[in-house]
Amino acid sequence: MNQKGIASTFILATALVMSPILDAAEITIRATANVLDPVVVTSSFNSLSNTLTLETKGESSYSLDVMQSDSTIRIEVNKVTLQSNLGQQHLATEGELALTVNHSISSQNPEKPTLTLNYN
Amino acid sequence: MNNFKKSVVVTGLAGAVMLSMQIQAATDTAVATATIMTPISITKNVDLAFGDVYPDAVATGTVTVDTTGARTAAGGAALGATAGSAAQFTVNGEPNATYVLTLPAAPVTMTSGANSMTIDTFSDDGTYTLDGTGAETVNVGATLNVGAGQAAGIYTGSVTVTATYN
Repeated sequence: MNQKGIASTFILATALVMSPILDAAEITIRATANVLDPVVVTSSFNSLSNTLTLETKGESSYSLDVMQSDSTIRIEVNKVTLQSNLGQQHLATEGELALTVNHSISSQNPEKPTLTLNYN
Repeated sequence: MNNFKKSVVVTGLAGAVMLSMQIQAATDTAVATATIMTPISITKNVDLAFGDVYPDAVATGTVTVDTTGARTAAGGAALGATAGSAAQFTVNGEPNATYVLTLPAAPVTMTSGANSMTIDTFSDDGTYTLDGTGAETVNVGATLNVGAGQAAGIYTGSVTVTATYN
């Protein structure tokens, strides 16, 4: 066998794996929310001034017993942004008044606003 | 032909061939250019916060934080004293480059122990074009979905935002 015309060698194959081109970037943002209990903190009724005072948080629904018929109740909310149209309500008969207050408490307002109802 | 004449002829032919080769060879310079782009990156400045939220016992509601950080409540949700904030981050990269900002397409879940809420309807105020220094600050808002009788607690979640060169 004539091997004189045959030559062989090894070729070194190399490959360099580069880091990918940074044409995109990603970030994770933390989202938080603090959910509080929407409870009526206190309620009281002053029989001398016919004033019912409620301290509330958030949206609350109340059922009030109205003792005086044919009367108008003046509703005042201090230091809250009142979203419901509650300026005055006329009551023809004694009975139950369903009342819903939906208010926002901002940093300019205290966390415990006072809702006051008076007979006119 | 004597040897002298042969030498002259061979020399002459070789000279002609060399001259011909030199005439046919030419060189030129090609300019190879490559632009190395500044890698795009995002740096978080502010997290997304919905602040204090009051749920309703029977009605669902929402609290939306817009890109300015202002909050609005709707439905059975009401706002508490602690304010919220829009998320804010800075995108850095090649000056004047345009990019695509990808916000979550699906609702993101926030949890507090075993309880959860979702946030969705993400919005941003980006122009998607980096300025002359290669930067843009972007604010992101979203809407929090508050369940009826949502359990009290501090809820947290993670929102992933991606910026990609056009």
